[in-house]
Amino acid sequence: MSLRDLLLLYCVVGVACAIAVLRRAPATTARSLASAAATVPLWPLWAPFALASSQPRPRPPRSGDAAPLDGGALARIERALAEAVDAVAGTPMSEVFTRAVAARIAAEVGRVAVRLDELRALERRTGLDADASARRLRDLEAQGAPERAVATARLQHESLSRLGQLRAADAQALEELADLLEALRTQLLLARYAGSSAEGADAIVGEVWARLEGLGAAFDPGPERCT
Amino acid sequence: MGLGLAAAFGTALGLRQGGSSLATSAAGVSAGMLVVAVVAVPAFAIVLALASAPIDAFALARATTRAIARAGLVLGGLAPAVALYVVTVEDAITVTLVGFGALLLAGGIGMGSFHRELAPTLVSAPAATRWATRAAMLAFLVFAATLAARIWWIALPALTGAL
Amino acid sequence: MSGVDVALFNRILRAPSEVARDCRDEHDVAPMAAHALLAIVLGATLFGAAVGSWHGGAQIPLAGGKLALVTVGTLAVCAPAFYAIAAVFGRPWSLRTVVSLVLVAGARFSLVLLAATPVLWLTVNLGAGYHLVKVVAALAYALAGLTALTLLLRGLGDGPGKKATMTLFIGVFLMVGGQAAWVLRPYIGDPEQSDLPVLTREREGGMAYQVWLSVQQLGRPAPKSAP
Repeated sequence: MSLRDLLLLYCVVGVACAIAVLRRAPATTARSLASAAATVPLWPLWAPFALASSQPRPRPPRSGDAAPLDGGALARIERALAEAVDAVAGTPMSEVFTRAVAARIAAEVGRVAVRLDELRALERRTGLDADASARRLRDLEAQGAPERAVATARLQHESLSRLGQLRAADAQALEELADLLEALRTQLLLARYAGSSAEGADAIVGEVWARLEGLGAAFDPGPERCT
Repeated sequence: MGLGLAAAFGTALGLRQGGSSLATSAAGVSAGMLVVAVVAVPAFAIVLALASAPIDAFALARATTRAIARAGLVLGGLAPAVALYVVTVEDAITVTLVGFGALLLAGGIGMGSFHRELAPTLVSAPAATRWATRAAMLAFLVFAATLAARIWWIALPALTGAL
Repeated sequence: MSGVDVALFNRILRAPSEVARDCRDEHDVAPMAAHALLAIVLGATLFGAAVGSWHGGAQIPLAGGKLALVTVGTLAVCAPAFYAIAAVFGRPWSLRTVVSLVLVAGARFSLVLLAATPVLWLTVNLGAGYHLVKVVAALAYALAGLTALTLLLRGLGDGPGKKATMTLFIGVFLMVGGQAAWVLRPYIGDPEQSDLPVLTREREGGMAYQVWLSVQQLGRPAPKSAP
């Protein structure tokens, strides 16, 4: 087999990846076309990002996750909110999704994101790592260390794992919120251009508020739960 | 997964001759690892039992699969680089050096993983058992390396063409 | 990528630890990867064009294009190896993390090449000989490689297996990069050839051997006189 055959094979895989990128994109825009075009020659370097950014649903959180993907979710939320507001401007549907509602959603999401960042910064500063604590626990058990030392290491590991799970779950919730707001944006666009009812959008707005309350509850335990 | 990735590495080696050697090289690289797992590891289990080592069959199987997975992952990762060499260099000796170098690296990582996986289980064993097991482990690693190298030598003509 | 964010290039150069941490956390990696790819292509192309300017004519765009191809191709071929090596030495990162780290390190490499481009061009313009140009280009490459290495080192973080991972990274990168560059030569062009081929097919030892030959030739008279 020659270098030419190998390059041909490389291009075939590149075209397949580009098709996957296009198929996974929510809409065929100049951006998705450019991403697909870049994927053909650069698929080993670009496909992991192009395919991930257009994924309809992120993977469920795992306890071993290093960090959530809320940075991308925040950008998606901001974009979806801005587009939704534009979609209803000058139509009767502006009563369903007002600028004030969008601003309140953005403020709530921003608050949650700040707290997530604080949590992550704390983890970085203190060097807390569930994998390292698991290794430490395994090592102590293997060396036959005193039970007290093993129990302390186990407690540390369990706490860190729980912290990681909480963080990953909240990041996942932000991703789902981004999905929901994108669906809302699409629903409002449909209502604007197809003249359909905004009932679906109304239901989604209700769902968005419910999710935001859920997120807020996770972070704001309140005095009655602090005891 | 490890064997599949090792087969991908074998396919990369087979690119030099193309045709049926794509399949034979893929099978050859995987076979080297598979034979070690099927032939050498059971023999090692018998030796461990004779030495009364506190290592059960389950721990041995887990260490073997992890070693194969790690070695396979390294081979799979190196497959594109090896493919580049195989199709672009003129002289066969470079292919031999690069190919055996990659196999040596992956084999070393696999054996290191096998050893690390089993070493903690020996901590609580009596000193005599510990020493006997360590000696058996050393002999096993040498035997496994020789066996795998011999199979690769026979099954990978792309690597031995220059020798 | 909606626009070029110069601040991102600035971060890659000034705050390698921060950028490496973002890669590990998969925080906003898609725009970072897009910018890194842009920097890699741009830096390598311009540096290659400066290298090709020694011969002049068609060799300027040819060398530029080939050097960009070598850089991107090397990173594409190395990325799976880096992923596997990192995983077996205690860093089971996602492919996106590894590729983003590789890309930002590549971007740092190319940005340093970009900085070295005027120096190389001036060297050529002052009538430097073939071998001096080759050594200056090799030095620029070595310097760029060192700066990329510092980012990769920070990206690996602390923990067991760091030295082995780094050593293998460097080994694989040098082997793949050397071969890719060798396949696509010539860049500067043989001074004794007036019509340069697009690709050289003859055996001429190896890249390390050629650099050594150029160092030996430095004391001898240049084959091309100053303009």
